[in-house]
Amino acid sequence: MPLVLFFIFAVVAVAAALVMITHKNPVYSVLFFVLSLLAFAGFYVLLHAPLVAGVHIVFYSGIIMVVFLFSIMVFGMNSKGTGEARLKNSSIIGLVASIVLLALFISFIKSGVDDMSQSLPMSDDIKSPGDLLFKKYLFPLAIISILLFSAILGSTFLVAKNKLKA
Amino acid sequence: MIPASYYLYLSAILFVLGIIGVLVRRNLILILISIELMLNAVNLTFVTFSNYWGVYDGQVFVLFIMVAASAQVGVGLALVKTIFKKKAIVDVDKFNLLGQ
Repeated sequence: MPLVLFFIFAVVAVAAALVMITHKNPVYSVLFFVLSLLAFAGFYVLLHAPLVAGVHIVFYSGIIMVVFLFSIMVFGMNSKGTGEARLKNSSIIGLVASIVLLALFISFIKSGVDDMSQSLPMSDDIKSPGDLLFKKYLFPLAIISILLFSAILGSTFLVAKNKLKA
Repeated sequence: MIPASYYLYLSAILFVLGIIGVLVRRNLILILISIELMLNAVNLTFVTFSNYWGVYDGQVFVLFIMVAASAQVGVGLALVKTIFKKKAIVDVDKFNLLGQ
């Protein structure tokens, strides 16, 4: 049963990502990426990481993607003025290079690990990662909150520079 | 039990899809979203190995990566908005700000 679920989620994730990178309208791209992210949350549940799955849905699909959609719609950054239709030479080279990279990854995974079916028993609670986050990784947590705060300040200054002066 | 290599293959495919998005698309917003896809593929690898070894450190790392991604999105979208206000384009091929 988990294997069937895995393949369903995998097909959804890859198909939605494909539509995301090929669709002309950025609004549809964002919506299909949200679908792909929901499939990712399914993987996290299958991997016994319910905290990550919940945070992923709330944070990625709920906040980051809505910010994307908001900025596309408010500022009117649609596909007009972008010559997306034609495939340039540089794009073809990029495509070939990406496929070579995929082959490299696959050969690496195939040769590096023989039996990847080991899985140690993990509890399905959110207490254990929370414990780790607030005890062992307390200092990195403080550092990353400073990073987030400076990002908020920087983006606010970039967007509202003129209003701050007036 | 799902073998961990399945997840690794899947995240390799999704990471490469993100790279294709960055290299082929010209829309600045689409490039930012493709970077998000690459970050998510890496997150999936982290959680896979966290499950494989039976430790929770990988999950905590994923939370940190999510925070870093949100900071990146905030600053990136602010930059895109500033450029768009000045030039009214989101096409990366038309950016030649150094030549002005």
